[in-house]
Amino acid sequence: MTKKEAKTKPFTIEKAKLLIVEGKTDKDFFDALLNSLKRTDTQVIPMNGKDRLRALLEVIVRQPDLPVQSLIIARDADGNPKGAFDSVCSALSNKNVGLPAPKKPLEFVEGPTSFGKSIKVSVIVIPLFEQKGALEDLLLQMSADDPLLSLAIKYIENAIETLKKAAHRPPPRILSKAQIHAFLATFEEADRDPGIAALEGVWNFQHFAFEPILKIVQEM
Amino acid sequence: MIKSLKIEHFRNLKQVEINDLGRINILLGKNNSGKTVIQEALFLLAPPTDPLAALRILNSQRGYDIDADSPDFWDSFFYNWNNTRNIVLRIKVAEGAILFTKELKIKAIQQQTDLEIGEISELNRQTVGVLLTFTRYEGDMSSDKLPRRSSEQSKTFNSKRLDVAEEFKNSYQSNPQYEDHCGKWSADLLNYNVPVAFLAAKVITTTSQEAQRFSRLDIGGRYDEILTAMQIIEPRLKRLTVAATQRGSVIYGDLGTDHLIPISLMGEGTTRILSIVLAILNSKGGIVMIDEAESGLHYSVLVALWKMIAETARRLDVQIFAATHSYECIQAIHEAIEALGYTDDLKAYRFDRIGETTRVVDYTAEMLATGFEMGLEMR
Repeated sequence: MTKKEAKTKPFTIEKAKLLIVEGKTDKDFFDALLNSLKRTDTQVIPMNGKDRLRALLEVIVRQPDLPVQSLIIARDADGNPKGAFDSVCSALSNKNVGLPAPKKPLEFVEGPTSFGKSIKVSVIVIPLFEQKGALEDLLLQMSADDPLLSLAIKYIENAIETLKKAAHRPPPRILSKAQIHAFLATFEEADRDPGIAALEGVWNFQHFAFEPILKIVQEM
Repeated sequence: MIKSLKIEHFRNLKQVEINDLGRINILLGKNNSGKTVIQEALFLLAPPTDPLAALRILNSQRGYDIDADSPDFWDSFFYNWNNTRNIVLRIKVAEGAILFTKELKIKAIQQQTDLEIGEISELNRQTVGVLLTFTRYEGDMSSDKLPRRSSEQSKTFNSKRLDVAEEFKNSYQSNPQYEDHCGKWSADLLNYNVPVAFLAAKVITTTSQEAQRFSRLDIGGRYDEILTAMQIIEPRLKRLTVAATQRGSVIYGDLGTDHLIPISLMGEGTTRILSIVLAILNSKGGIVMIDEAESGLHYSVLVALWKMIAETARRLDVQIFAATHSYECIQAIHEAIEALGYTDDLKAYRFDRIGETTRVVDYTAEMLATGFEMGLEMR
């Protein structure tokens, strides 16, 4: 038809609980978490770029017969945990979205919506507790007890030192990503990304470092 | 251009208000959600030349061909068939810097009759007609400051025009134009007497009517516009011409074969596009309503068709109201308008019935783009 392929069967949000995450890796990770909890009442969708959150929410709240009663938005803190939280809250309270925004991360707020139902909303800023970073930083904490992780971290440190001396090319931009990928390269299937690894049971969702996320997802 | 529409107690809509209407408005919603009713309201509001004819057309387009001497003819326009509450239709119109509000109130007129069933005689009240009141207000009805009422006219309509009881008042106009009970309304009210075309889903316009519309444009030197638009669906089309036959005029198309072919025989899509093209080209400064916009059209022509519609609508200052159930039709409209850089022209509205109420959900072009990108349901 056109440069954009017509989608004659669009998808709908059909579950009462909705988790909006940043990208595909995060989706796989949270799908794995929900599988481990045997939760089938929650749908996970990626926002495909954190700048797209407001636009995505505008369309979601307009979906016909939207059944969502509980919503969690999870995004990376990157270099500014407070800015990340404020950005999510700004998207939630935008006039074209009109959802309640919590006062701080990992807390639920309940309020009315434009689609006629009350909704519970919470925000997770990863890796938690106002730390800078992303999902990989949380995964490092969750795998801290694994001796292979220490080796992977050491390898990346050595690699960076070598790169600095030889100046072959720039070192990894995000250290935690490099460390987690080096760690995942020690598994039998060496090419997994953190999301696929989650689906294959690599991460321990019962680890105490993950407890606040586990708790808020269970409260959904 | 119509900026907003308010409807009370009309057909299946108890109360609906649509604001910030655009040049191209897509109407969405499930069956019986009120998409067609929105178009019917606009059809009644625009030109108050012969409201009885307009009411007849609306019921006829719905396949409800009932005589106006039946109470059901009149009652069918009232919400839930309940004629005790008046119908109120109201549009806010912006014409350059001038903003005014036009309102149509429809009140049922009832007659008390004796109904004898066997030996029992009962008093029976039945609707025999309607009192139509058009009012024009200068300014914005929704603002805090009450607008000035500049003109008002009421007329009674029933099935027997000779018995029409008329009320005519125009205390705000010193010299109103007034001919007969179904004739002209005051000049002031006719300030918003714009061309209106309503392309219903079911009704196929007669070939003679289309030939008249074609000829009007042809005489006005706009033949090329029609041909170019028709070539979207039929690239082989070389020429169009009107021929007089014993049963009226017919538009023929030249596909490069030995014999010209009547357009109506070229298929439903060709006939549909011809209707759309002629309606828009004949509606300069007015409104065109297209019910079931995807009807009869292959998906591959939709983007090109909507580029033509959007471009022509802007050029001729036509406002479009298109109802559709088709995701790919909405997607094509959006893609066409985005390609032209006219995204500010596009709005979409979905009507969700929640019990007795109707929720209006509005989409901007940006929201539609996000919805398509994510593949989310919006209909």
